[in-house]
Amino acid sequence: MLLASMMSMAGAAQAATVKVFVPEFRVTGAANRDELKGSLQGLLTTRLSGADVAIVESPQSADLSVNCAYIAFGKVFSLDAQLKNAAGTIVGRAFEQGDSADDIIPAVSRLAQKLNAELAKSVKPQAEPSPASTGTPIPTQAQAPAPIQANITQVVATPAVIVPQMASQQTGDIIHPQNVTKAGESGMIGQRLDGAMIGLATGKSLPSGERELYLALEQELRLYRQGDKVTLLANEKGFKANEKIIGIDTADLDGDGVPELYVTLMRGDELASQVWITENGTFKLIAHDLPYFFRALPGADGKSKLYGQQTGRDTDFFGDVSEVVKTGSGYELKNPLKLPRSATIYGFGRIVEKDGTVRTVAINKDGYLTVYAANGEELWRSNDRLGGSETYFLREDQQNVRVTGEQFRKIFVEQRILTTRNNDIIVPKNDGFWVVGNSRSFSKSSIYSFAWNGAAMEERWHTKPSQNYLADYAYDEARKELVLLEVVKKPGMIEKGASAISIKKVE
Amino acid sequence: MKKKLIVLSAAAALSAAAAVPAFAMENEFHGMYKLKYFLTNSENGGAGQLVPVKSTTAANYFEQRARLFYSAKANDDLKLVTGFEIDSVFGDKSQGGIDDASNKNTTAFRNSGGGLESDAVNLETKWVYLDFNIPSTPVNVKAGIQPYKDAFKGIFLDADIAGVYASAKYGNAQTAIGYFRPYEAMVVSTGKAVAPRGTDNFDIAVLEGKYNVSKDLTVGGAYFLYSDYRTNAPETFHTFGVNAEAKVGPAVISGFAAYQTGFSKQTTNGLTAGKGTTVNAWAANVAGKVKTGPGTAKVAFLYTSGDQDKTDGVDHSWQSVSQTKYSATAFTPNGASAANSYNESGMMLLNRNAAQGGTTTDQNIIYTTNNNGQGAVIITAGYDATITPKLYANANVGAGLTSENNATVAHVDSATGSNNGSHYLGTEINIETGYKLYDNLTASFQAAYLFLGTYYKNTTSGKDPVDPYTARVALSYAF
Repeated sequence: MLLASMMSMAGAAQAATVKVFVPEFRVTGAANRDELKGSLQGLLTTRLSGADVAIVESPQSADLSVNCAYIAFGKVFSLDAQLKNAAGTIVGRAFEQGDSADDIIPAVSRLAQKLNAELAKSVKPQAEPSPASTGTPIPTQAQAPAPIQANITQVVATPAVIVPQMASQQTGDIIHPQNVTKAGESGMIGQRLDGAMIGLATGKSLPSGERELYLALEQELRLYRQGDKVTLLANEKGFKANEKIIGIDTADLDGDGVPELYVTLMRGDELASQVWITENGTFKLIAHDLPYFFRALPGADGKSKLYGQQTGRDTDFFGDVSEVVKTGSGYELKNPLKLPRSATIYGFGRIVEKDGTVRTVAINKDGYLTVYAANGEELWRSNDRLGGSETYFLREDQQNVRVTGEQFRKIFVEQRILTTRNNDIIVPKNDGFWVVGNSRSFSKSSIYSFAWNGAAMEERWHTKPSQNYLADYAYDEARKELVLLEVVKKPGMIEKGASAISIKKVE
Repeated sequence: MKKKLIVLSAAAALSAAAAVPAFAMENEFHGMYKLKYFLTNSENGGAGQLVPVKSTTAANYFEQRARLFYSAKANDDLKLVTGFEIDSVFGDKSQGGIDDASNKNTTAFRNSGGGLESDAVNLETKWVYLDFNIPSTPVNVKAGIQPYKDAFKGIFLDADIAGVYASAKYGNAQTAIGYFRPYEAMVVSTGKAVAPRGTDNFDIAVLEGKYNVSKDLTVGGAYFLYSDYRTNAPETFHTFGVNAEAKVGPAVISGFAAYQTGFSKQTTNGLTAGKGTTVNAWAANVAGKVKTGPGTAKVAFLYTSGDQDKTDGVDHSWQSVSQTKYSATAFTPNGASAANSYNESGMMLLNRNAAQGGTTTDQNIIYTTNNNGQGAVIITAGYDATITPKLYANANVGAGLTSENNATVAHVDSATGSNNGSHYLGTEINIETGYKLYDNLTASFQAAYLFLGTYYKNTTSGKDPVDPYTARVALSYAF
């Protein structure tokens, strides 16, 4: 695929600039249709414009026009585009679909990529390119403005029929673009972030194709804009000495189109979670002292849901894992999930079989990926350990202090299990040389994807092992990108450590 | 677009379709190490009641304790748990010593190995037990030598003990039943068990129940049978009690009330009432803590009943479990080598608080909750502050009293020749501060000073004994 793109690039190098006109979108079935007409036009225009495409203001001066329609049925929408030449002949088509408002901007980006490819095909190369020619190449798919300009590693799915030994095939299939050398194939944005981070959550997708990322240290929240590099936009350090962040998640529970940041926070050994938003470059606390563990997970329909669970006097995790809903000025747990007895809010996921049967996937207390039936029966268990986290919270442990000598015991916060729209699961794996008892120091990590075939999990792909501990990760389904938070330097007696963000493309 | 393409290795992408491994033993390790340096006028590395003295030269010594726990885990439902301990004192006898029991030189005895060239056989076994779930039931069983702490914050029994303990969880309810055998009867002259074995034991049975009414309220109850038939002076009594813990607003409140009834033909330590004694005792506790500022403020109150040593045939003192290893005739329960604790106090010298110990030194004014038959009243307050995520500091103050006074403990006013009437044992203030060098390694400093009360007035040659103090520097590693 990339070879083809590179060939296309070579051809495009001889092409001229194409003048494109983008009229307002035709909008059908949306409530705010007048507003969408212009805003969608603007979004697409910025994604088409570049050195190879000249956007013009009138159809008369354009070589091509891009006529687009936005059609919504309920929450599902379709973006359809037709590429017409001056004679009105359709020279290319493209469309993109989505199932929520969150998908609109990514869908426009994808549509733009497709249109760029169509534009490249529709423009004839110059007959006799002169050595002195300064003609700007028309963008190809490989050159099209990326939603995210970071160094990106593509993760390619392994075939359904697994070949145990593929070393020779890998050699032939690995293609090293020039920028691979710089980033060591990791997809890591070569930028050290101060501090050993513990949590990551994705925020807004920006019109520029960049995205906002929330990162958390144990006592600090940060908001970054992530593109080719990460830029700190805001931070919040107003936490007490006895408060500890153990996780962050984003969800738009108030329905205003902007995700809030849900911070699972322990004050001593009690839950005192918080909800934050960012306004004008600063964090703003909108709820506090919430007695919930939070975790956002994608549902089978691809939509992200925020789940919560409580803690009890006598148990670390009390009651069922339930959906968090906003009620007036507060939050409540509703729609409890039926999970196996050993599953908690941390380290569980759900998959749906073809007949609609829901299976629970969980990382058990020994670190094995396990699939359960609805009645709690264990259906399958991995032979390799997965998950693994160094993030923990403390609970008072007077019952065992005589034996352990410790007033508190550690409860580790297990990694996320994410379910993709095609019902695969994504689960990280941390590994290391010193993981004994409650002393954990992971030093290697990788991300795995599995598919449930009805009887067992089959591996789809995994990322190249990284020589760093993976603190947290997110999966951008729209862009098919993994966003990884890696600790590149562990904290020491005095040093705070350092972290980095890696982006890996899954195709 | 800056993209890189990597085709991933499929070598490890074998369909992990295998079922649960038929036999895949998991090895699980935990452990702790604690090193303490003591500077003290009241502790000497031993265990027992701290009896104030007229004056003393301060002692300084190093103690270390390592505990290693290994579990051989066959699957989620079955594991063998073992625990081992190595205690040593810097510069202590190592290659040889005199065994108190045999009066012979030996190289294998507890708490040795800290001398030059170190070699010593000093490994102690703490636990060996099976931990398994009964299939298709919610029942978990622990069978073997195991740790156990009672539902009354340890004031009756907090020890390593051999027995079988089965617990079950049904939704928000939990129940448990257990049988422990602390001792078999022994023929002292031969050191062998009395035949037929198992007929004249020291047995403890337990029934427990607990219910989580809500996430903020837990209630429970417990029953213990204490039955010691090793000699011709048997002792059998029952302990009943209820407990609860609730979160009310920002505060967490917990407490219990317990009652003991039965009989004892033995002489309870500290009492001279003689044989044929009826046991009739009780204890109660309430404690609260609240998050405030950068830490937690806490208060706690414990009462255990005492006996004035009247010849009324009734022992009113709260009975607590202690080691009673062997005797030709009778035992003195509630004496040396306590097997109970009260950690909530935060005290270091006033009462036995296992959370502040951690090495061999185990000496306190109120060493058992029976307190030589006098019972105890312990009122404490403290604040645990987290200054930074790595630095903490705690401070506590607590007063101790006897519930009743009797004549068996040296609190005779040498000026008058009679027992002091005061119940006031003293007030302790202590601090602890620590810094986490690494996530699992903490360096800390502890100091405590106990202002002796009028219970000890003029008890040392017409003068008041010196106030006990201790200062400790510790390194603690846990995994």
